[in-house]
Amino acid sequence: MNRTRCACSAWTRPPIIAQRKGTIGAKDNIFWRNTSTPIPTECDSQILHDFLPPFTATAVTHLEKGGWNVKGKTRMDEFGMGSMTANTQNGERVVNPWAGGERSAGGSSGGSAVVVAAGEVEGALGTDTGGSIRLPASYCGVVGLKPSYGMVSRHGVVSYADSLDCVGVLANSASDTLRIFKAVSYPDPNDPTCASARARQRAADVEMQTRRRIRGLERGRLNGLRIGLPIETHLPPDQTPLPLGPLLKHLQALGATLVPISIPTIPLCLPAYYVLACAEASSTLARFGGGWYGTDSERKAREEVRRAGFGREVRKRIIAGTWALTAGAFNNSYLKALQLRHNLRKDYQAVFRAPHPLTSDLETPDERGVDVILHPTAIQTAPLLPSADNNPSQPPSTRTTDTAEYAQDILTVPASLAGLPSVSVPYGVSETDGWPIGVSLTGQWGMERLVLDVARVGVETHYEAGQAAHRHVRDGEAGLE
Amino acid sequence: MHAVDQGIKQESSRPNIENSSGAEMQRDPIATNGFLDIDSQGDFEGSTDSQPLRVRIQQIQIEQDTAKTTRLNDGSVFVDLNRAGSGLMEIVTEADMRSPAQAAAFVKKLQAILRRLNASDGDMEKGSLRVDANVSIHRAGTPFGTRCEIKNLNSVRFMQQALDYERRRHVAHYLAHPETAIRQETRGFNESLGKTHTLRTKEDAEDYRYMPDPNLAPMVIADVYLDRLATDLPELPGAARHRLAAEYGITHTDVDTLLSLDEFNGQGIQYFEAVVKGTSSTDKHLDGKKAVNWITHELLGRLAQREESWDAQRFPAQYLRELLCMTENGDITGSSAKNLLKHILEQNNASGQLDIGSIAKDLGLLAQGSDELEELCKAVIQKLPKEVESIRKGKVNVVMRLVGEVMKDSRGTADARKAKDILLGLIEQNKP
Repeated sequence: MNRTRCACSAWTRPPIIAQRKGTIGAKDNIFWRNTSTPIPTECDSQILHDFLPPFTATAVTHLEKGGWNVKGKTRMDEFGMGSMTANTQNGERVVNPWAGGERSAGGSSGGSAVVVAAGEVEGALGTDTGGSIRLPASYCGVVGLKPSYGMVSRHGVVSYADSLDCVGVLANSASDTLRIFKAVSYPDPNDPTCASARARQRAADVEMQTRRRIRGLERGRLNGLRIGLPIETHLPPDQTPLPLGPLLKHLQALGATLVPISIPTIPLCLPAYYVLACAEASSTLARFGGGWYGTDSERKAREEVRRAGFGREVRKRIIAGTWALTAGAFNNSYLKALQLRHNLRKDYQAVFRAPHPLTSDLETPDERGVDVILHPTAIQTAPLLPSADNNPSQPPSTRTTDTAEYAQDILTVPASLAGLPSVSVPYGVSETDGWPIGVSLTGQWGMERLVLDVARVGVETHYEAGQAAHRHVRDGEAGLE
Repeated sequence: MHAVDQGIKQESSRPNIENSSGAEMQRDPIATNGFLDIDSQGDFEGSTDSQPLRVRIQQIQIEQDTAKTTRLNDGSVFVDLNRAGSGLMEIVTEADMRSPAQAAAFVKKLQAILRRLNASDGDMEKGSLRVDANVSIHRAGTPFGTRCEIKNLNSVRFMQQALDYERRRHVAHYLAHPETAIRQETRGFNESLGKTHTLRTKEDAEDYRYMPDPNLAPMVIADVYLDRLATDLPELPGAARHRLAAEYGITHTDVDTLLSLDEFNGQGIQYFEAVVKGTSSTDKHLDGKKAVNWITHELLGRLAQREESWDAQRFPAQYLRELLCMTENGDITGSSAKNLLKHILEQNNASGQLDIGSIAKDLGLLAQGSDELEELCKAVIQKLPKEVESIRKGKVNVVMRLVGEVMKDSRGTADARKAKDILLGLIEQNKP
């Protein structure tokens, strides 16, 4: 493995500090007001070009208070819309640093994943609406946590889809991820959807109960852990870049029990997600465009500001979302998607052992239920970057299909719609192309610590063993020459 | 009341709020199926249309205010975004009102309740309360025709004018085209022309694109909160009117005067009851009618003369009560009490500690005791021998001339009736 250590394409502006230790990157949709060297928050959109945020996001404020220094802002798909970090302000491409070759870092938090993978920072903040942290984490070989909805304040984070947006963490290990997550996970009166101290306490109580049943966790074992494997995430071999078998054997060897489960709504999640996310985006992005009153010429100017200021993908999602909310389409698109999300949440709740901490009466645990749900994060390793003649600024007819890009989210959107914590952690590299691939662990609401501990004890040990073996083979080959 | 609400936001092509949406929860109102009773008495000011009426409230929902628009006659529109995002309450009635006067009575009563509950200052001009009124007409015995909505009416008077104009417009339409339904429209009201005009028709109605607002968490209204509201509810104006009339025999007009003194906290009523009842249960009750007359005529009248407005501390209830008690006991005459009140208000120090009795004494306003009065009478008899002679000769009415003199000498503190009796007695006794 020759990890290229260059992350120059991942920063929006050259980093103002050099060292790695104690520094973090922040995705460019998170406000950071740096008075000494002002750096704009642009969401990689022309419409926010040179926008200097008036305050710092709550999450970043917590990190700064905890002694972290923000090293810079990281590139992203415009307003978080994309899975490749290719929908950028000037069509500039963010390159995956894993190995040689023009591979995508994934998106939309691709910049954050790259600066972590390249070792320029200890960790980075990203946002995840439908997989935007976990997918780049998988492609770049790092750990990416999408916390439970409401765990990290969204105050000072530019909205994409308010009911799905989560601020999360990317880092090189599960323990670093946990450390940074703990530093940003607090109640915030400035974000009405941010979980209260009381809700957090309830979640901590439920987690404590769960941990008591997983006796081995503190000693590097998984005895008592029940891992659910949803039948719906078992995809054909061409969509499974790395077989799960060896990892599952490793988990069993550590004492975990594997349980086949079914979440029947998973196959319908992708269309539901795109309807809801686009509908909300049509609302949240309506605020950009200058004044809304005035003469006809001012009105035309506003139309022009939006036409030129938003990129192609953003314009497309705004139009699609606007349509989904029109009187004619509402019942059959938006309401249907909402109903599906409701059903999905019920499906998830039916498989967990621990009760949802925010239900009014905490039921007794269902001993046949599972503690975490496991499946691959992505259906492929990092895809090739769109080539120059496949540039987003080119007419659509010359581009590869958007559907292929959307399909990358198929395994990440269920946890987003359900509002559950989900971490992607590398479990190996593909035997065919040598690129990394992540596995996702999803837990009950509020169980970030549990999923990260399982990632550390169960998956990272497997990955390290695999890497060591790989090195051994490679060194052996080298020795033969 | 409904226990859980979910905020809904609307998108429109003319967003004017920070996140470009107004939120409301049409699908999940906080309350449904209420009513507001409008009495035959009191609620209809100067109207012949005064049948009791129950207006049903279909629902109450919370919305996010977008902005306040002010249209000028030259067509320019001013937008005040200062209220954008603040909560507003939309109260939707059923179609239960049959005339502009009924609508006016409803709005005024609602306004009074909102003020008494401190829910809103109800100021229509400032935009704290606005009315959207729907109008449809019918021939007796046939169903109502198509309705038109007049938006954003900003005074009760303009609402009545708009409703009346709209009613006439509908009548004219159906007289000219009996077979064609009037076009369903949203209309505005031009105050200077007194006419309504088309804002938009059903065909070009805006698609508001409602969706739940994920940033508004469901609002859970606990039962204990509702219970507390119910017990803390102040006496509403309608209830006060009935109770005060029954308890003290005062008129609705008097109650309305007391209510108008403080629509928000009901201090006028409290003041009146403190004057009548005092502060402890052993205090004797004064006559309610007399008390309200003193408040409305003497106190408010005098304040109005001085171009002052009333507040409870200007002349605290305990002092007015003391003054009324003194007149009832005969310690001071009515006219002296009025002078005393005038004096105290002029001194502008009524809010400090006052000793009404000693002020009255210092000013020599206390009613004359019998001995002093007799001395005064004797002096007058001596002063006016001619008139005394006339009385002795049988011209008894001349005694009033002597009474007048006694009043003058006592500077109005003497009881005229008593003085007359004493004078006649003395003249009789001292016949030569």
